[in-house]
Amino acid sequence: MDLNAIVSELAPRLLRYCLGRSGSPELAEDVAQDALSVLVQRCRAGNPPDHAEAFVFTVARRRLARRLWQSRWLEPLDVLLGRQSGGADPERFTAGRAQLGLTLKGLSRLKPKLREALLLVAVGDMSTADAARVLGISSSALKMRVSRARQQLQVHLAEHDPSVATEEMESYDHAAT
Amino acid sequence: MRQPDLDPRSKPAEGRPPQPAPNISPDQQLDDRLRADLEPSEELVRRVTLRALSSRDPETARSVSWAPAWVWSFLLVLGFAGWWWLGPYPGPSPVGSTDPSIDSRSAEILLPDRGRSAGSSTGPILHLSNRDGFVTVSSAQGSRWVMLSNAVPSHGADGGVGPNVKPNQLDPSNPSGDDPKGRRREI
Repeated sequence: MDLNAIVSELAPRLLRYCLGRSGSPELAEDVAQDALSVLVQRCRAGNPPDHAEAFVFTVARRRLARRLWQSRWLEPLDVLLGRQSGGADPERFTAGRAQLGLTLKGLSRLKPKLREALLLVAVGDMSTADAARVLGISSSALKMRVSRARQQLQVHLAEHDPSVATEEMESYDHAAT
Repeated sequence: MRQPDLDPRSKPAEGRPPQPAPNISPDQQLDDRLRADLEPSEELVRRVTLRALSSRDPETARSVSWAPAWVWSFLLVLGFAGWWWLGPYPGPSPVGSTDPSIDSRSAEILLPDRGRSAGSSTGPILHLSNRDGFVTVSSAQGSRWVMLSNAVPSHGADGGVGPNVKPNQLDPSNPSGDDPKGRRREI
């Protein structure tokens, strides 16, 4: 498969994943671009990874964790020095996109392990096997995490946006029983 | 940092995602909703794709630019360690330069202990150097430097060996300095 086609196919999935993980569009764009750049460099150096998809998501996952950790530590310093925070203002970004704000809030309330699993599978469109490989867990463990994450997210969405979620919750409860 | 894509024209469709068909599972509905909410604009996707295909890995570039700092830090630490080990006045050994016959690896050295009494240091000498009237002696027992003027008084230290060499160790019949009985020399 052509490198351009691979990158074009992975870019929207990676952006969705990074945005869901960080809640910051700026950071999502930076990290997605970085991860794809690493893939491009590897391929051009004649050392393409076996699974481009898993490789890119693994790189993005690590860099996101690093950047989020850095921003968490530097944020008080930025506030102290009166500098603009490195992260984007989620409220500004989600203004007029109430649905997105609600979704991001719901995702942020999930436990990190559950959120990671859900984002890789549901948002990143990864197969169960690939997502399990990225997270370093078994497929059954991944399915369990995804299931729990979906359940908790549904509850959150139903609480904060009943008009939207009532119908989904009913069908969800019906399916669960 | 790049600015987020805030152009309303490039946002995905506002409002709820399209109503799923009734036969779709709730899990699938939730996934569809997540994807729809987090969907990036086409412009953003195109921008990220083009930049990724045309740019270097920024983290690699950062590490390359930071490499000299790490190298310099390492060299600084290495230099300090070397200075600490060799002493403040490293230089050629006076013994080796004036009397190369003395085996500095197994010599016994009498060292003045801060001008009070002569201490002694035995064992293999790892380093012996002299500069500007200071002698640095390093052995397995430690390292110290002393001034030659404070060293053991010389008794006619002719022969260019140095003021801290006792005359009874200078044997005119044995100019090479080798001790036939295998005894170590005192400097």
